[in-house]
Amino acid sequence: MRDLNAPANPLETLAYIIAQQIEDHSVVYIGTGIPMVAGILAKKTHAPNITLVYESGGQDPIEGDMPWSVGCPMTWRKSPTIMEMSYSFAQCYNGYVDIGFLGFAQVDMYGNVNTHMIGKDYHQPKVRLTGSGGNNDLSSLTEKMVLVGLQTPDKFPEKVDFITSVGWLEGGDSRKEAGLIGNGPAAVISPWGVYDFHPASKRMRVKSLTPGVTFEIAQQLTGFELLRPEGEIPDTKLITPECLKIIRAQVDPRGVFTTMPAA
Amino acid sequence: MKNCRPSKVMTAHEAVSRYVHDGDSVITGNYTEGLPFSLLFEIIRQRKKGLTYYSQSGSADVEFMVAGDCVDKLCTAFLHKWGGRAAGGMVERYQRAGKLQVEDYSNFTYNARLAAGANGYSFMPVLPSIMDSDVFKIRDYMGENKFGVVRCPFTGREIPVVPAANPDVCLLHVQRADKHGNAQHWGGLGSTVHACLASKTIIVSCEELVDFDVIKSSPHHTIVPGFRVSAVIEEPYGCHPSELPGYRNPDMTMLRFIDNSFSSDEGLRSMFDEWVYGLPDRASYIKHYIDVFGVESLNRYRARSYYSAPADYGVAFESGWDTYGQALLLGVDIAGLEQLIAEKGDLVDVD
Repeated sequence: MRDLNAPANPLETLAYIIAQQIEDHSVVYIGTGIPMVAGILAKKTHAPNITLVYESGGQDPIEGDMPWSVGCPMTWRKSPTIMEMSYSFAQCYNGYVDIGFLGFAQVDMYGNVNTHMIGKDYHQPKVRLTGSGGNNDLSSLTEKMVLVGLQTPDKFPEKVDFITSVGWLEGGDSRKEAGLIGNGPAAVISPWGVYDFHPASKRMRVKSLTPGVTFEIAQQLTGFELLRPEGEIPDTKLITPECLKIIRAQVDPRGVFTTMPAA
Repeated sequence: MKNCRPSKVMTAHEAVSRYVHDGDSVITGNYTEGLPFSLLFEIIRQRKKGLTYYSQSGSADVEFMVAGDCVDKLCTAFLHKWGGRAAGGMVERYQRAGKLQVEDYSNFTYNARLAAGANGYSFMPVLPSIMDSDVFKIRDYMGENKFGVVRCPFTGREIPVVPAANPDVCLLHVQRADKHGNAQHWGGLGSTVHACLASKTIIVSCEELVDFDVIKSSPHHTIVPGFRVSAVIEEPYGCHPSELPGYRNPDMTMLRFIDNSFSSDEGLRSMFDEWVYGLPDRASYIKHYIDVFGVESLNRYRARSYYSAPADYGVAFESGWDTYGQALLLGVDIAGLEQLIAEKGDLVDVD
């Protein structure tokens, strides 16, 4: 049983901020990890009428235990439909999905995502990561794409080691010129800040910061120059005690995705 | 002529020695649930070499196959690392040592290769999101054939395409099958159907071998028709420690043990000696599990039943009769029809 009264950790903060992006009645494409926590949290709180869509086929499951991956039976538990994967993805292609979340190990200043490997040579990886899964497939498909992960200068480099999923490519009109459909990444969410992209240059820009985090701190946590919005930077709304309790008692009681890994 | 269909029932040992050859391409048909571990362990025990292994959402299956020195080339869309971050996982270690070539696709483009193969197409269009990624640009053993680009004859747009994949052998674990190979699977399908239908030879292991009557009363669960299947193995716990709807959850006791074993070379060797090479078949594997972890541990992960409602497949034969009581299509009356059915008989087994 988890301590319901301990202060929120960065992963729980992250899950809450992501959940706030989800509007009720929307169709939400869910990836493994924190997005699953956020989707279920949203469904249990402000957005009870959303449809959760999983790539392995489950559509709109009845909640049960926390799924440990998008292929877990909990992603289709008592679902009205279990599709084959190709159709589950095709719904995005055809524009029927409103919002999707992509996890990243690295994200660069133009929102390009890496989940493949760390190192200079793909064939001789310093660290081999998971690979694409559905990451690339979703990156040009849903109406609103949100990138989610932790933030350090290594995780926010100027250039990712491997482009798993295309964001705004090299900025400006380069995504459009490449012929890519979809709206491109709308936001990047880390425990320390929420970022969007400058409408013309497509460079990452601070949208709001976690209370206590200044622009300078956010910059120090970033491997490239962040853009500053005009005017005062708003605080990101912090997780409420009620939502924190719901995460710990109902959504992820065993702490599969919302306990911090040991250093 | 008598209507005969031979039984394809055999052991995992027979199926693997008969149908899996060194240098073959072998695909795990199951997506993440019901991974065919019994068949994979048998391949490792028989020390098959030089395989091209396809696993879409690679988990412990990939780690075992690579550590068992069976695989030269790996085609995948996702890899879960076992043994902790420090150990690095088998794929990373073998890749760095130059002993393993890895070709990465995304989930959809991996699936599209199999969909093309299952449909008999030589290639399949995929979405443009792949074109500007390094998944498209960086190529391993597939080289120029990893992706291509064609121009759509209707819109004039450039479209990336993937080549068809038709693996030599598909390994599939399902809930139930009959002796003819009709295999029924329900749950999270992922790309399972495409993986099966694209493959040249299909080996099915099942929790329960059932009568043909069970299969023909529930055809919506059949994902691969019997005539495509080469071998059927009745193999309870054939996917252990992975999960299977209606039977069990993932066995976390075993998975934790596997994870710990992969964290050191010594642990890995002793796990292979004890659990893979040291046990001849799945029955002895489960017996060994009970000896080591206890039957309570095995039962802890057992599924609680939640049955599907039966579907009514009845048809109204009456609409097929004319005013003289003759069947419209066959030109016989009811007695004649019954005689035809009796002459045709049900499926006759040779064994």
